[in-house]
Amino acid sequence: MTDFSLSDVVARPLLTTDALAGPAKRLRRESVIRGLFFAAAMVSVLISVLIIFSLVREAWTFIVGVDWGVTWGETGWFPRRGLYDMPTLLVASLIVTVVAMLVAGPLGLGAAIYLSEYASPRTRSILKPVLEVLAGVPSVVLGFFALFFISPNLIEKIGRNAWQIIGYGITAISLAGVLFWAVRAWRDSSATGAMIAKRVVGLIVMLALVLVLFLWVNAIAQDCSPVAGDVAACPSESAFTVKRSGQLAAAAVGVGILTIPLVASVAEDALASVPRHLREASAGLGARKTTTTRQVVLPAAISGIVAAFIIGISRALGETMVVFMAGGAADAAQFTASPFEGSLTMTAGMASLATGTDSVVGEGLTFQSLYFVGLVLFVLTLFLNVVAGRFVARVRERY
Amino acid sequence: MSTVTPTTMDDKPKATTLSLDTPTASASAPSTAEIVFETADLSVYYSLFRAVRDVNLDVRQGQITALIGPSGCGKSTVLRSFNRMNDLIPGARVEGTLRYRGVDLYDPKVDPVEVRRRIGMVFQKPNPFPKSIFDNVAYGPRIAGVKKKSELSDIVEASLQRAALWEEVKDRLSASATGMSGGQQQRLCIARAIASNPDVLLMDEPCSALDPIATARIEELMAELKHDYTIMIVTHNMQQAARVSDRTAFFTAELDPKTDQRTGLLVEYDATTTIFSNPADQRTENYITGRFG
Amino acid sequence: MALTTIGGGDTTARVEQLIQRRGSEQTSVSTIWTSLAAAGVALAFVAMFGTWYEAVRTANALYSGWIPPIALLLVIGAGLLLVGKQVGFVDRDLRVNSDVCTYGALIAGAIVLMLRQLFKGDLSAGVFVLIIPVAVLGLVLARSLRNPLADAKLALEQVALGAASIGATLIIVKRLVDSENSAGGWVWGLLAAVAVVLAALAASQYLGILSMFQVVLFSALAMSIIILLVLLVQVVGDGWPVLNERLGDFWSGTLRSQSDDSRLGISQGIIGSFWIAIFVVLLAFPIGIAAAVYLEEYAPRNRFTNMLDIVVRNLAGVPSVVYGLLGLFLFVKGTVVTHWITDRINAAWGSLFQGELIEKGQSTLFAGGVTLAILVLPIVIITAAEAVRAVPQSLREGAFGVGATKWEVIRSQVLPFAAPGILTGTLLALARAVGEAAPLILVGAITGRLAPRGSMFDGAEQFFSQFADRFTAMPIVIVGWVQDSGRDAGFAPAAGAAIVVLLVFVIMMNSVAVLLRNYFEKKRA
Repeated sequence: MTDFSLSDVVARPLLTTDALAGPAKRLRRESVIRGLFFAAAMVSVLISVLIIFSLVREAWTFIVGVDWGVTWGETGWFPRRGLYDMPTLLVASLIVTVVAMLVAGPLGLGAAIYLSEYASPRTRSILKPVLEVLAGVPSVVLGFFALFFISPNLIEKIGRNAWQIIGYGITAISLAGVLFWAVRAWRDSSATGAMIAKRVVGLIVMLALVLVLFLWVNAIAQDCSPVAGDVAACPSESAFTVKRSGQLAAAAVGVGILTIPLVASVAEDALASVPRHLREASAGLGARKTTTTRQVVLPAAISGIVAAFIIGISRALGETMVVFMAGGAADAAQFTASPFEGSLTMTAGMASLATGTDSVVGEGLTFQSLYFVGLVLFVLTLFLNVVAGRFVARVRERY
Repeated sequence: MSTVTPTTMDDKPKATTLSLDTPTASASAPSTAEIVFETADLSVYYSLFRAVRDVNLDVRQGQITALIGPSGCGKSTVLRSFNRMNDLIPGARVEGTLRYRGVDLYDPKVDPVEVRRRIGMVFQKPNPFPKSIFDNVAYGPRIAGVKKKSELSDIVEASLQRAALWEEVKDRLSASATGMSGGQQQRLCIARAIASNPDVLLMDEPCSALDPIATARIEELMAELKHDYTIMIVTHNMQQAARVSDRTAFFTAELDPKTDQRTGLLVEYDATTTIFSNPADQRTENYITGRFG
Repeated sequence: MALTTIGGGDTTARVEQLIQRRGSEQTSVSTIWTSLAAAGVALAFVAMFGTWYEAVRTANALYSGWIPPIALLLVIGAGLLLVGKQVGFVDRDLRVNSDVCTYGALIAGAIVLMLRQLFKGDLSAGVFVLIIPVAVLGLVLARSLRNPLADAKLALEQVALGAASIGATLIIVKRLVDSENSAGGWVWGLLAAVAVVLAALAASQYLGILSMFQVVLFSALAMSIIILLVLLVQVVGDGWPVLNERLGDFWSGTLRSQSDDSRLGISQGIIGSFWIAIFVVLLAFPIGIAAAVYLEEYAPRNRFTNMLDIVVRNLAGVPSVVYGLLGLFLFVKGTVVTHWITDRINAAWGSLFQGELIEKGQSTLFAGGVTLAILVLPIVIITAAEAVRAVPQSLREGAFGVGATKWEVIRSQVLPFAAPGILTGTLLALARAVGEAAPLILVGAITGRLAPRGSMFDGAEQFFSQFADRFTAMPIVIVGWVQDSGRDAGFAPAAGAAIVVLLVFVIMMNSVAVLLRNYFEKKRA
C-alpha cells in the first residue's frame, strides 16, 4: 500500500486527542468560509431592516408634518400642490385590484385546474411553458398593450355600450337556458303524450318571452340597436363617461393578465400536492372525472387556492408600470370611483411623483409623502403575504 | 484465500449446533489483538428519542466484527457513531464513552473530519459520485493533499486492485462511475474508502442492495481486507455474519418502560462461533434459530 | 348491422372493435365541442379586435392576399379529414391529440375567415363563414351514415342541429354584410360567439358526453394563451415597421425629442440595461447563492434559521416600487453612512482625475444597478436554495464518509450537482431584472432627453464616470416614449420597436432557462 502519513496510525496503538484534532489551519479556514456564507445570508436581513428604516423614517416626517384634515378630504391627489388625499389612491388601488382579480382569478384558476387534472402530459408539457413565458413578459409591455389596445377596443366600447351588452347578454343567456331545457325535455323518452303537449306549449311560451325581451332591449337601445339603426349614433348614448386614452379599467385588465401566471402556478402547486390516492379512491367509487375534481380535489386543495388568490391580490396591489402607463392620470388625480375614469393607484402615484425633469420637486412634504404611501403599501402587501403563507403552510401540514 | 461455504437461506440451524466452515482467521483471532474501539455504556439519542442504549463492546484489530439483529434496534446508529457520521443528523447526540485507540472520539477537541479520514465508511446503497471512476477513487487522497498525478494514479490502481475491480475497469478509468452495475459500484465505493488508507472500515449493510453473486464477491473481499483493516459490518443477513465475521454483537429492541419508546440495546457480544452455536442469552438463541426477526 | 357479412369473423372481436372505436370517438368528439365552445368565447374578443383593425388599419396586409386561401384550405382539409374519419374512409387511427390539432385547425381557419369578413365586409368573403355550419352538419350527418338510425327522433335532432347552425350563421353573416358602419359589427360578433356556444351546448346534450366543467376550464386556459398571442401580435405588429426600416440606426440612436428624428434609437437603453445586468450578476448572484448555501447546508434548524427563511420569502413578495424607495433613500438622497463613503471616493477620484466623481443628490447608474441587484436577490436565494435542497443526501454522505470537510463537500459535490438548477434560477432572475422599470423610475432614470455620452472606451475616466452619471434603461425608454406619444404620435411605433427588442431578450432568457431545466431533469431521471 502506498505509504503516507496516516499509516503510522496502524503501527502506533495509542493516539492522542490532539492527533485527532485536525490541523488548526483547516479548522480556521472552515470557520472563515462558514462566516462568509453566514454574512451573505445576513444581507437579506440587512436589506429588510434598511427598507423598514427608510420607509418609517421618512414617513414619520410626513405623519407629523401633514395636515390630516386635508389628507382625507376626498379632493384629489395633488402632491406637488400639497394636497395628499389618500382615499384617491386607495380607492383607485382597490378598483384596479378587484378588476384585475376578476380577470386573473377565473382564468388563472381555470387554467391551473385544467392543466393539473384534465390535460394529457403532452398537452401539459406544451402549454405550461407557454404560461411561463407569459409570466416573463415585463410589465411595461403590458402597459403598452393596455394603453394602445385594451383601452380603445375593450374599455371604451364597453363603457359606451354597457346597456346594450347587459341587455343582449341577458337575452342570450335566457335563450341558452330555454334551449337547454328544451333539449333535455326532448331527450326524455319517458314523457307521455300529454306531457309532451304541455312541454311544447311551455317551449313556445318561453321562446315568445325571449323574443319579447329581445325586442324590448332593441327598443331601449333605439338608435344604438344593431338590429334597427346606425351604430354611429351610439357614443351619445353611452352609459358611462369614458375617458380617452387610458382608464383604470384598462390598466386593471392589464394587471390581471400579468397576474394570471402567478395565480395559475400557485394554484397548480396546491392541486399537485393533493395526494393521488384521494383521486383514485374517488374514481374507484365510480365517480366521473368532473365529480372527483369538484367534490374531492378542489376542497382538498382549497387552502392553496385561497393562497393563490391572496398572492395574486398582493401582486396586483404592487403593480406599478401598467397603471402608470395606462391608468389615465399623469401627475395628479381627482378622486373618482369609476373604473372608466383615469386615476392613480398608490404605486402609480409614487412613480409619477418621481418622474419629470427633476427627481421629486414640490412644496413641503412631497418627498416624504412618497414614503408614507410606500409604507402603507408595504404594510398591506406584507400582511397579505403573511396570510397567504399561513394558507400555504396549512396545505403542507395536511399532506 | 479463505474458503467460504455459502449456507442456503432455508438452512435453519438446529437448536444449538451449526455446521459452518468458519474463516480461518477467526480461529487465530487472539483476544490479545489490540483494541481499536472501546465503548462504555454508549447511548445514542436523536433529540429526545433514545435510539440505542447501554452498548458495551470492544473491537479488535484485524478482525471483522458484525452487528446483527432485527430492524430498528439501532445497529446502523451504533455503527455511524463510530465515525461521527451521526453528526450530520440534527439533534443527534451521544452519552457514555466511545474510545478509538484510547482517545475519546466525542471529545470537543476532536475534529470529525480527521476521524473520518481514519475510519472509512461504505454505505448500504452504493453512492458513487457522478464523476469518473478515477476521480471517485482519487477523491479521498486529493482532499488529503496528494496532488501529483503519478501518485494519484498509483493510489487509484492499488485501491482498485485491492477492491478486486481493477481488471474490470482499468481500460475505462475516465468513464462515469454511475454507468456500472450495482456490485461494481459497491466495490468502487470500497476502493474509494480504501484509497484514503484508513485504519478502520465501517460497512453498513454493504450487500443488501446487491444480488447474491455480487454479495459473494464482496464477502470474499472482506476476508482479504481484514488483514490490513479492522472491519465492522452491520448486516441483516445472519448467515453472512456467520460466514465472514470473527466476533458478533447481537442487538434487539425493547420497550423502555420509562420513556415508552422502543430502544435498541446490545444483548450479547462474543466470538461468532459462540454466538451461533452456544449463545448465552435466550433472546440471541431465539433470533439465531429464527423464532423471531 | 350484419355481423355475419364480415368474412366469418369473430363476433366478439367485432364488438370489441366497435367499443374501442366508440370510446376513442367519444373522446375526440368531446374535444371538438370543447374547442368549439372555447372558440366561441374567444370569438367575441376576436370580433372586437377585428373592428379595431378595420377602423385603424384599412390596408392591413395581414388580412388580404394569401391568408384567406390558406385558412380556407385549413378548414376544408380539416373538415374533410373529420368527416372521412367518421364515415370510415380514413382508416388510420388518428390519436386524440391529432384530433385536437385537426379540430383546432378547423376552428382557427374559420376564425380567420370570420375576421376577414368583418374586415372586408363584402358578401363574397362572407360566404366563407358558412363553412362552419357546413362542417358541423357534415360531421353530424357522417355519424348518422355510419350508424344508420332506426330512431326518427334522433334523425330529427340531427337535421334540426344542422339547420339551426346554418340558419344562425346566415342571419349573422347577412347582418354583418349589410351593416354600413361595421363598428356595430362587434356586437354581432358577440352574438355569433353566443350562437356558437349555444350550438355547442345543444350538441353536448345531444351527444351526452361533454362535461361543461371541462369546457369552462379549457376556455380559461385557451383564453390565457390567446391573450398572450394577441399581445405579441399587436406589439410586434406595431413595432415591426420601425425595426424593418431602420434597424441599424435604431440600434445605435439615442433619445430624441422628435419621433421623426432619424437619430432616434435605443443605444442608451441597451447600455443602461447591460450595465444593470452586470451589476446583478456581480452582486446578486454570488451573495444570493452563498446565502442559499448557508440556509441549506450550514444553518442549524432553529428559530433563527426559520426567521431568516421568512425574511427572504417576504422580501420576494415586496412590490418593486418599494425597492425603488430604498434605492432612492440610500443612494440618491443618501444617508450619513453613504455620504461619508461618497466623500472618500470623491477624494480618491479627485487625486487621480479632475473634479468630483459622484454628485450628491443625483441619480446614478450605480444606484440603479445596485437597487435592481437588491430586488433580485431574494429570487436568486429561493431558486438556488431549491436547487441545493434537491441534491441527494447519499452524495453528501459519500463525501463525508471519506473525510471531506463541509466546504469540500459543498464545493465538490453539492454545487456541481445543483449547478443546473442554480443556473436556471439566475437566468430567470436576470430576465426579471432587465424588465423592471418601477424601481428605476423611483431612483431617477431618465425618461426624456438624455445627452449622449461619448464612447465608454475612451479611457478609465470615461469608463468609471459613467457609473456616476444619469442613465436610462430599456424599460424606461419604452415608458418615456409611450408618454411622449401623447404629444407626438410617432413615438408609439418606436416604443413598440423597443418592446420587441426587450421581449426578444427576456423571452429568450426565460425559454433558455425553462429548456435547460427540462433538459437536466430528463438527464437526471
